[in-house]
Formats: sequence, structure tokens, C-alpha cells
Amino acid sequence: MGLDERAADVAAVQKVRKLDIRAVGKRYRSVIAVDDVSLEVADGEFLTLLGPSGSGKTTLLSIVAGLVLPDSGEVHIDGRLATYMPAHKRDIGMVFQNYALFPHLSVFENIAFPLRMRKHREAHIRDEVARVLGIVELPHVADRLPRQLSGGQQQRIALARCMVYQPSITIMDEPLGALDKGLRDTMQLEIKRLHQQYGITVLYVTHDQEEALALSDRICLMRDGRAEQIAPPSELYFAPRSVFAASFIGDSNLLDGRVVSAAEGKLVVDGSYGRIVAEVEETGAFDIGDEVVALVRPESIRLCGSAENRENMVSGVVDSVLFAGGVMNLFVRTNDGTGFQAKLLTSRTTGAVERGARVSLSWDIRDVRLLAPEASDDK
Amino acid sequence: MTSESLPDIAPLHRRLSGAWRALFAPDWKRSWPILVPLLFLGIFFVYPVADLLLLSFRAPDGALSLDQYAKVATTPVYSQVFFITFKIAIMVTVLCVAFGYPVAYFLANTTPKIRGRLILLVLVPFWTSFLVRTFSWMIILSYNGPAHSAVRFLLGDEAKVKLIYNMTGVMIGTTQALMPLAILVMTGAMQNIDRNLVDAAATMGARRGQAFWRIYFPLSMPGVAAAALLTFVTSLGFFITPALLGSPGETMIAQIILTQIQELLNWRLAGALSLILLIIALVVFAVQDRLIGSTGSTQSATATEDITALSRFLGRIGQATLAVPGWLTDKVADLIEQIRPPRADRPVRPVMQWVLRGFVTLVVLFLASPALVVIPVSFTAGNFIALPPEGFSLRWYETYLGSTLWTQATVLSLVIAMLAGILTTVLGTAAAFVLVRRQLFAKRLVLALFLSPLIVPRMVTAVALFYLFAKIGLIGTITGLVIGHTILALPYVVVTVMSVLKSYDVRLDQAAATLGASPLRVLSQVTLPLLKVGIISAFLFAFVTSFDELTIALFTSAGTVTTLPKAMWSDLILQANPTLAAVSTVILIIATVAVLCSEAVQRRARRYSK
Repeated sequence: MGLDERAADVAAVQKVRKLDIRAVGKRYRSVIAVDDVSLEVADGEFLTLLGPSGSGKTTLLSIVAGLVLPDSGEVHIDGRLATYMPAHKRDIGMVFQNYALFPHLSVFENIAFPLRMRKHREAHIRDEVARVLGIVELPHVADRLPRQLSGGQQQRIALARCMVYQPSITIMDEPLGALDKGLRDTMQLEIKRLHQQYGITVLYVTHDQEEALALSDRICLMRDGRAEQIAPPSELYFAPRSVFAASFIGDSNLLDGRVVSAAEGKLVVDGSYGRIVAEVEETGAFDIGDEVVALVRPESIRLCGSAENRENMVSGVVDSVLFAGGVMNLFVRTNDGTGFQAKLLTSRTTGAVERGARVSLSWDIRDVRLLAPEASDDK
Repeated sequence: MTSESLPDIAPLHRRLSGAWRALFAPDWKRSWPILVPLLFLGIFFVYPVADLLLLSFRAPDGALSLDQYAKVATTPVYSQVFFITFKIAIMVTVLCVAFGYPVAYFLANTTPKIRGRLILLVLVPFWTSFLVRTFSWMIILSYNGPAHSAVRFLLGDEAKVKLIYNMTGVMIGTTQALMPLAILVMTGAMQNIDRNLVDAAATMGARRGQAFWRIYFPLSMPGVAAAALLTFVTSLGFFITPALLGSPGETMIAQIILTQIQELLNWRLAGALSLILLIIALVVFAVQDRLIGSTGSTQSATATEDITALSRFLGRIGQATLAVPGWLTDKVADLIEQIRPPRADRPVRPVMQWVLRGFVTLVVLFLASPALVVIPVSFTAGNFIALPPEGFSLRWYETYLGSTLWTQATVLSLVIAMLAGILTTVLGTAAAFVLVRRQLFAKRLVLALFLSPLIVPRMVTAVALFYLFAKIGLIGTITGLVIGHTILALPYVVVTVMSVLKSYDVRLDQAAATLGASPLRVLSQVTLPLLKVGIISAFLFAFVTSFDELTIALFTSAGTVTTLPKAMWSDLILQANPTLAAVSTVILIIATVAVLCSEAVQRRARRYSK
């Protein structure tokens, strides 16, 4: 962590806040959909709401768009209070999961729609529609109906329809959810390109962590209606603040233990599997005797000789080996039954690891992150 | 699929050989269960209707003759009746669609729970006997009844407003009868409109009014067209409401056919009039099919399937036309915003929502409540129908129960409804199975045949069956009535069971088969139990259809074999009396039990689905 987080912070202060969500809450009868969320999006920033389904991300997005009214809190768009402003007065753009292209209107009329609502002149409308069709590289489809386009083309038209009137913020609700894997990757690049090239401000919603990591400047991880952690992708990955964040993003080894000693920026944790040493920036976060969960990412784990003596080392029997091309996933069980996952890069010369073999695993003390255990009443 | 998926431009020989192969394909042999209902329909529907129509071209000596058509064309009274029939049908269609549209809109966009309850209410008139409802209107709209009292109270004693025995009465009765149909069809179509489209329009700067007129309304047009078509064609064949709520000035074509048979026994003229009525119905269907492209289909609400030059042209005009109400609502909204600007710091009061809710409440009350007036009337102690009733007594129930005519008719109607319900369910389920599960030659044609009793006006079917039954001695028999009612209820059962079958996951059957179940056991232990709900609803629908059926009973009933609706009708056209209110209350109770049964069955089934 460190550098890129600080860079993002500086950028956020320097730039104008396009969106400012202050302590927004929304409940549906007994269910709390959004629970006291505060969030800021800077001009030109790409912020993603990431979370499992039911975590409140779509409700929060709808509150910003003006399609759902909050029970409490405030929403400011472009510096103006907009909490209960009707959607059509907010100057936002929204790309829906199923694109919401009007099926009875041609591509041209679809893109012209927001301009017509703003009572632009006909000549201006023609120029602008042609311009954005050029940007999404589909200048030839203006006369077609939406259903005559492929999924990827429909996606581009939905983007063009949002770009044509240059809204303050562009909101995207799982825009790639309906596409298959290959097309999704292409469109990710396309969205990234449009964001960077045209400096649009994006509030993005997805439940796909890889998509969020690849696209975002910052990610707001949502859980049960709350913002669990708001951070740039690399920080969220390497320095999650909770067990939930650690387990939701990427693969992880989460090891229960108890702090036994703390000295010189190092904490030592004892668990049934053995001993873990972690380097920490501030020792004060945990006291001796505290229950902790140690996070070790599978790709931080290496195989080592059993005779070596490392600070972090466990040995066990290989349960299963999953070969996945560029990487190999190794599942190792230690004597006490704890399972470890290691992700190793492969090459032709790497020796095969057999199921049932006895191996030793080790990792760097800097690759351990200590987290407070989840309260037991949480699921 | 084989025969119908071929494009129209396919060379004829290829299509023919395809048909040939389909006819002798193994699947045709596995399709035998459909032969029984097909045969039934052929003998008791297609043949008699065709026979009746051909009769109109035959002079008494057997030679070809168009004299009956010449008579229709040259007698002013017939052209007048046709004109009135058209006028009533068009007015009723406009009223049903215009008043039904907001209700359908509300139903399509509310929560499933509220929708379920409201649809039950909207459907009340559908389930309650048509005669009972018309009788209720006779009570409400009578000169001494509550409607006229209200008018006199509002406009003063000298107000010359007449609500019954004229066009107004016919309009009220017919609109209430047909609006549920229009609402259901439009709701189905509107539920397929993606709500996101309106939200998308709002985020792009469209006011609610603009979003509605430019986006929602055009997308709902196929549903509106289908609803209008069904309402129009059904109302063409009406005779009960004009006879009981109208004057001779509102005589409709079906009434003329009825008189030609019942009083003059003029088969040939009745046949000629039937053919004209049938042709009008078919032409309307065909025109709608051309323009909209999806007859009665509620599926293709989002954009029509094929953009022909014509519909593209119509679409342009449509969009230009819709810009006008869009612009108007925009101006009104502008004005309101100037008086009361939208505030960002507190929610806007949803005024339009409340207006809509109020409107929907009124329409639903209009649809669901009138039939209930028969209940208080049936307990009157006086000698005449009165609302409010005079005192309280059970004397009219004593009269009802003491009369063999009424008790016999009640029992007979229940027996016939039960038998017709069972027969229709068996035949309809067999047909639906083959239509959904098997590759069938000319499948669309076969399906159209099964649905045709809905399209052919009931009066035509009834007269045709009368002609056939008279020849083979089925008049005044239970068999005859059961056959007639089965013909009428068959389309409902086929459609209901087909829709359940289409959503049925065939892999469940395959799973059962791989687990070792024989085909018979798959059917009896997996398929049928899972389809039980749909089949039971279909049965109840058939039961109620038969229990309420009058048109066929008018001709086929005789002597002791007289159904309850027929007995009611005979009394109604002579003189309405409080006994009828008691009978109506009994009918209401029976229908309510049927509805509650179907609801209970469906509620129990919902436990599986989640």
C-alpha cells in the first residue's frame, strides 16, 4: 500500500467532487438496503460499487439516479443538492444491465432521445449523434433497430446514448453482465478507453471482482448495505481491512490464531498449524492474547525444502493439484487438518507435484496481513 | 416446427414433400391422443357450422340460391341492425380500452402481491354469471332503483336522464361484461414492457409524461390492439344485454338470429346472418393480424416481429402523433413546476399516483360490486324487487326451494357443469399435450381450430348445434348440453394447459426416465402431479363456463332438461321477481366456491415453486 493510495487522495482533493453521498440510508420494511453510506466521486474518477447480490449496491445506485428516494442523508451532484430531485433534472447518464435501448426507436432516435428532451436543434442533434457513433466505432448502424444489433453493439449504443449529452456522472449498472466472457473482456477495454480518453466520471456497479479491479480508480466494497471499505484496487487486494474484504476479493488463506508476542514491527501468531510471523506498520493494532485472522494470498506462498529454516513455514501433505495453464493450484493439508492453498507459476521445467507428496510451504513476513476476526453473530 | 419454420418463399415441392414427411413421420403416430378431441370438434363444431352456413345458399328445392342474402341486403331492418351492432361494438370497445388502460397500467406496474389481489377482483365479473350481472344492472338501473335516485338527487326531480332500456343501459352492461377481458389482455402485454426503459428515459431528461407518451405508450400498443380486437369480436355476438337492458332500438344481430330460429324457424336466413357475422369477425382478425402482426398475442409487446414498409410508415405517423400529447403533458408539467418548483431537499408528493389509484379503485368497484346487490334484494319481505329491500325474510328462498322447476334446474346445471368440466379437461389436456410436446403437421392450423369456438360467435355455434341435434335427437338431453358446453370451454382448457406445459421443464421427465420410470409412471407420478394446478384451474374454468352458459341452453334445453341460466332467462324476459335474486345469490355462492377452490389450489402449489 502507500504510493498509489496517496496519489489518489491528492487527486481527489484537487479535483471537483462530481458526486457527494452523505450518510444515505434506505430501508424496505424490515430490510435495511443502504445503511448510512457516505461516498465521494471526483471529476474524472472511475468508482465501482462492488459487492455480493443484496449488498445494497443497486439501491445506492438508484438513489443517485433518482429512481429510488432515500429515507435519510443527502446526495449532491456537481455541487448541487439533488437528494429528492426528479431523475430527469439530475443531469446523469445511466447504462442499464440490459441496455434499456428503446425497442421501437432506431439507433439514431435512441441516441437523439436525450438531446430531444433537452430541445436541441435538429442539425445539432444530427451532428452529435454522428459524432458519438464515430466514438463507439459504429457509424453505419444509425437506421437499424436495437434488436438488429449484436449484444456488443447494443452495449456500445447504450454507451453512446449516455455520452452524447455529456452528463455530470455516468452510472453503469452491471453493464457487462449480459455478455459472454470474450466479449466482456473486449468491452472492459472499450469502457476503460472511453473513460480515459474522454475524462468521463463513472459510478459503476458490479459483482464481478476482476472487472472491478481491472477498471476502477477506487472500489467501494459493499456488504449488507454498508460501505465495508473504499480504496484503490491494489490496496483493497493487498491491505483489506476485514476478513470479508479479504475473502471477497481474490483467493485467500485465512488462518485463525492468537497473538503471542509483539516486537520491532513484528507480530507472532500461534495457531493449530504452527506459527506465523507478520510485519506490521504499527504494533498497537493488536495486543498479546488477541484473537486474529492472518491473511496470506496463495500466490505469496512458495515451495521450499524441508531443511530450510524460514520465519514462516508449514509442512503438510498435498491434497490435490489443479493445473490451470499459467498457474498451478496446490491444496496442502497440515497435520492438524488446516488447509493451505498455494498458487504457483508453471513452466515446462517445473517438476510435477504429486498428490500425497509431503511438501513445505513458506512465505515472506511482509505478505501476511493480520485482521480482526468477524463477530460470530455475522454470517 | 418442421413445416412452419419453412420460409414462405420455399419452393412448393419442398414444402409439399416436407408436409408429406411430417404426415408420415413417427411423431404423427405418437400424436394419436389429439385425434379424439379433433374428431369431437370436427363432428360437433366444424361440421354443423359448415352445414348451417351451406344451408343459407340452398333453396328449399336444393338448388343454389342467394335469395336469403338478397333479402338481408334489401330489407332495411337488417342493415339497420348491422349498423347498430357495429355501433355498439365500437363504442363498447373504445370504453373498455380507454377505461381499462389505466387499470392495466397500474396492475402491470404494481407489486405482484397487489396485482394478484386486484386481478382476482377484476375477474369477479368474469366468474360471476353473466345473467346474474345483467339482472343486477336491471335492479340498479331500474326507474325506482338507486342509480336514478342518485341522478334525481344530483340534478333535481325534473332531470330527464334515462339509464336503462336505451343505449346507456346496453353500454353499461356490456362494458362491465367485457372490460375484464380487455384489462387482462393489456396487463399481460404491459408486464412484458421493461420498466428500465421508462427509468432510462427519465435519467436522460424525460419528464414522466414524455417518458410515458414516447416510450411506454407505443410499446403497449400491441396489447391495446389485441384487447380491442377481442372486445370488439366478442361484443358483436351479444344478445343478453341488449335484450334486457336495451330497447328495440338497440337490437343486435344475435337477437335477430335468435328470433329467426325461435319464432320463425327460418334456418336459411339464420344461416345467412350467421355467415355474415362470422365473416365480419374473421375479417377483423385478419386486418388486425396484418397491421399489428400478432393476433391476440400478448408475448410480442416489445416491437413487432417484422418491420414491413407499411408498419414502418404507420410507426412514423404514430411517433409524430404521440409527440403531441407528449408536448402537451410537458407544457402542463412546466406550468406546475413554475407554480410549485421541484425541491431537492424533500420528496415530491406523488399526486399522479393518487389520481391513478383513485381511478383504478372506481373502475374495480364498477366491475366487482354490482353483482352483490342481488344479495340484499333476495332477503326482501316485500312482493317486488326493491333496493333497499323492504324488511327481512327468507320467503323467496322458500319459494326457490319449494319449486321443483328451480331445484331441478339447479341440480341439472351442476351435473352438466361437472360432466362438461371433466370431458373438456380430458379432451383439452390431450390436445394441449400433443400441441406442445409433439412435432405436428400444420400445428398452427390445428391450434387455430381448437381456438375457433372462441372466434365463432356463440350464437352461430348454438344455432348450428341446434340444427344438428334436431336431426339426431339430442334436443332436450343432458348429452346434448354437455357436448355443446364442452365445445365452448375447450379453447380455455387447451390454452391454460398449454401455457402450463410450455413452462414445464421436460428434463424432469427425462430425469425420471433415467432413474428407471416407465413412460406411464413418468406421466402419473411426475408430469401430472406437477401439472395438477393448471389442470384443476382449467377444469374449474370449464365448470364455470358451462354452469353459466345460456346460448346453447336456449336451443338445446327442453322440458325437464332445463338449465338454471335458461330458467332464469325465461323469467327475466317475462318479469323479474325476487325469486330470481334468491337464485342469483345461490349462483354467486357456487361461483365463489369455485374461485376460492382455484385460489386455494394455486396457493398450495406456490409452496413448491420456491
